[in-house]
Amino acid sequence: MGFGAFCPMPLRLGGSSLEGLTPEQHARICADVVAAKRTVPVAVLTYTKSGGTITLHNYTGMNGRGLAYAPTATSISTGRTGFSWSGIFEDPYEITYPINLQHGVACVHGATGIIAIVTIGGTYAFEVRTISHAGTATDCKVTVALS
Amino acid sequence: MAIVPAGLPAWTRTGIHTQYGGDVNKRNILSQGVIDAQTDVGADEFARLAADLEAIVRTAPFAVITYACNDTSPNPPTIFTVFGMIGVNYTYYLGTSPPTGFPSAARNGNDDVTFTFASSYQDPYAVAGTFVPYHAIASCHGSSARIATVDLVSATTLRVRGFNDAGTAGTDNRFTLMVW
Repeated sequence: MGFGAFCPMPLRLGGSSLEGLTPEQHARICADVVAAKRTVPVAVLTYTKSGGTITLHNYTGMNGRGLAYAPTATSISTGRTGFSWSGIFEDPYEITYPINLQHGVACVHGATGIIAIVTIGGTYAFEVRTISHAGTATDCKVTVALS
Repeated sequence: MAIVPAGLPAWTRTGIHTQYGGDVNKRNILSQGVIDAQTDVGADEFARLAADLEAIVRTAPFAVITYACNDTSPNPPTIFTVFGMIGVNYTYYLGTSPPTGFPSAARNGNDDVTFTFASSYQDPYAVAGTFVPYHAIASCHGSSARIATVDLVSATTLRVRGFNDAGTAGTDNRFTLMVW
């Protein structure tokens, strides 16, 4: 088999389950990775809006984990926050591609019934509005998932 | 076990492409590319696989859980399905009797449930990784206007509440919860 010191790359598919990677196994990895890529979020973040102050608690995105990778948050008005990125993500090989958000879901934290609405695009990359069950714009803590 | 996999399990969100065999300078030996696409995997292809896996591992939910509250006859919630990094469970279970490795759930009140996760789980190679829920999203099922909210109560517990359109707790409602 073309593995090991004499032929590290390209990998030659085959061999045993202990010392090789069969075409069937590799095909399964590829299919599953593609399936996962299609549906996992691009980014998930949790923030609190209190007046004009927005506190980002955690961020995990395909571009990286941690607040340094998070979009910039802007307080628009009560219960309304806009988020902006540079517009491009870079992978570990410095290959870049524009972020193309299509979906957004959000959920409010806490003990009060508040609705969260995500809008993709517009002035910001995405915008989140939080509205009480009575229809009043309300500041609160929110988790947003984008894909 | 012959080897210990590199890195930590996916839910620690620490996976990087080098742990999967990727490297920014990875190349085919003697720059000889793939000879037969049906039998070979090139360094360029493998590098893409590693980078994409790194991205996926960062944002994939730890668990997606659908459950229903049992409020009319107060009982722990019924967990219908769990799709988790630690396994998939289609068998209904009562929140207080979870199968090994799956979260438990306790009833706090009407449409009000606290889920408890382990602080650490093991991957298929028995490598343990700390789990801390950082994000959660919940949504209600049904045909009426309802709101679900979440709370990250501690490093292992999170709470989900449901409200009707008047802002009061509902009863016996079904929810889907996603946890990262």
